[in-house]
Amino acid sequence: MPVSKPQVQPMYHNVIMPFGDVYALGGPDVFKELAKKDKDKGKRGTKNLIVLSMEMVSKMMEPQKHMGQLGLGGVDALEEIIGSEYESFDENALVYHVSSGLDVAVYLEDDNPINVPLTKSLADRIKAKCGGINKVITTNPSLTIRYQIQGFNVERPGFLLIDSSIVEKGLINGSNSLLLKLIENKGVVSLEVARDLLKLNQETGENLYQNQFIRFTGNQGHVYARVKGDLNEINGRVQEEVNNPRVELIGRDGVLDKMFRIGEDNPRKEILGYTPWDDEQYLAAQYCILDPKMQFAGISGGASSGKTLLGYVLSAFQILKHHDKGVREKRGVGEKGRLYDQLILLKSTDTMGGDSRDIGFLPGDMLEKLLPHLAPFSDAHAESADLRRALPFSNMFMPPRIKRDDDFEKEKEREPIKIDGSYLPESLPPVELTTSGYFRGRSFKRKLLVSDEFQNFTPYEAKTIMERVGNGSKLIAMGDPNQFDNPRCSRDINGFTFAIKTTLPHPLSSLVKLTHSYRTEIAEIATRTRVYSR
Amino acid sequence: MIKKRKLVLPAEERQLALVFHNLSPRVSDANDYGTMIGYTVFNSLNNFHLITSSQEERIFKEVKRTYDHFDVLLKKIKDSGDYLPGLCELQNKTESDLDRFSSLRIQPITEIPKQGFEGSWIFNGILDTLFNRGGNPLDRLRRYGIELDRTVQSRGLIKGNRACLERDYRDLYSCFVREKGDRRE
Repeated sequence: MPVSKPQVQPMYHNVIMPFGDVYALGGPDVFKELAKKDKDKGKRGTKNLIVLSMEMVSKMMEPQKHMGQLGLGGVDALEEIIGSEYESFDENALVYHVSSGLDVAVYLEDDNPINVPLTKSLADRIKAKCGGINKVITTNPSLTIRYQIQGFNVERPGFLLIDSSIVEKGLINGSNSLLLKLIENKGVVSLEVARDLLKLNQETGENLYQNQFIRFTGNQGHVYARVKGDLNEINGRVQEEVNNPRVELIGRDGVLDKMFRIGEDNPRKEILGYTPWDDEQYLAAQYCILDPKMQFAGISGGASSGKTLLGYVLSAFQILKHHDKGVREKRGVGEKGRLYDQLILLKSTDTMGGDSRDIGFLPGDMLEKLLPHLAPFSDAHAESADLRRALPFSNMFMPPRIKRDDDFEKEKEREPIKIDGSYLPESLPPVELTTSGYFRGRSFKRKLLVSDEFQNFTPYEAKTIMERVGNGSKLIAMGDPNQFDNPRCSRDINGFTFAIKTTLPHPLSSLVKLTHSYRTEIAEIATRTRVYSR
Repeated sequence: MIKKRKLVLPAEERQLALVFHNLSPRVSDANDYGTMIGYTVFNSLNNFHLITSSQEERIFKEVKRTYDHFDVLLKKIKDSGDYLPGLCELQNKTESDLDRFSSLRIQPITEIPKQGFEGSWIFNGILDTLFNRGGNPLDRLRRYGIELDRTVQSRGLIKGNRACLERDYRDLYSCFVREKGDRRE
């Protein structure tokens, strides 16, 4: 079968057919992305045309698994279409004028077989009317092959996918010229100068983001700088644009001493027995997790990079009362003397038994069902000598001053638990466990939300979680886009990369990728080996 | 007359998978490791020049030149016992070359005629990607280096000399060159 691009009559610039999976992913945004843009060159037509078959329209109305994608985007897309003006286009076809750069033609076909989004007869009708379909868009490999065989130009919806390498953007390589300039200027260089020295081409897009780390390599080791700016607040809301954007050396003249600096307290080497194993862990701890200004901290890292230990121990530390002199002075030494009231562990249910997205009907409460699946956090708890000595992991979910059901012999209230000279919350359980099915309608105020394996949430779930982060709260998302277990997620469609992409430009978010892997040689071999069967 | 047989290294001794297998234990930092791979690929193909009408010969020579540069780097690391001096040297060279290229207009690879082309196709693709697709060139090389390592390590060793060269060329191209319409970061 010859593979050639059909000739397009000047009626339309491009004739495009996105399949249902694309709408499920992108909803009406598909129309914005596929409309003819001013920059699109060529004299052909002033608009693009999207083609839909009635079979596809029916499928788009079904909020169930559709060509590998689940979502209600199709319904929203259809609502956008029917809100537009329309006219007759062809025999049994209507054209909707969706925007100044886009028309959508809907064809009614009597003999359209089920699950075939584009039949030969429909392709012929489109060819006769407007020159043929320039490209078909789908994420489905089977449909890709099917239509490539038939000679169509098939593309993936790149505009809806997020490249997993976005997690690398938290820490970038710096140039010698920028380092020299920083040293000359006492450790501070304006963002504009830094951009020039890093040869960033502004016309083509890539920028320096707030809180991005820049690393310089020297003969003796590494020097670090960070993109910073003065927060710009309007009506108490921090804006995305900052004042005086700049690049500053961090640590001691850019060299990290790996000492934790918390508020006005004296620098300390360890927190609850945790000491950073490498530079990236220190950056993640000091500048992302422990920085009270950050509302979102993204920690990426492969297996055995230490992200769970780092996230759990440092989060537990932040729910201890009056650990920070600055906070203490501001809020007093009572219950309000802590930075966060509670630690919320968010778990994706998919990793615990399948596709149903709920926790099942076995006997027991949510904690009893989910506790076995919290082994990574339980291990992290055990690794911290201070936490381990103070209380067992399961007690982190119990209100400290309320007697436990199985503890009826001990009538008197338990004493507040002291860790590292501070106290755990006295009225609330230190940790609450929740799953993705129970987020809707909740709002977390002054809570520290910690989620491991964030890549197992779908972008929709990730959005829901991020919407719940209330005043005084912070979300710590840990994940690795290469380790997804959720069949609805992929390397370029998952909650982690979605959260990173959404928050990266904001000055209250930060991102670090932990690159070191602390594992045995055998584990490394296993990591490098591909296994496809599950 | 008995023809003297040309000494050919077994395929397994010259391929990226083996190069990375030898290099990775010597570089403790994954970011530095990616940077080193990215800079070495860039430097190895810079100033590559070959007059030939054979596309295959060009591909093989480009890949072999990359192997040579990795061999030199590996030797330097072995001799000095530390990777940082080698990396700093690479960094200085790459940075000065990038400075030079940033002041020039880089022709997109789609506009370069393949007929009579004498440079490295991958290198021109890298320049096109670094300067016409946007971004921080030094950091892009690091990210592409990491990507190349991941690609090569996960597919493992390839058997057969020709297959090795072809596959390594394909992986170098796919990791370092972003053509128009490529939506990868």
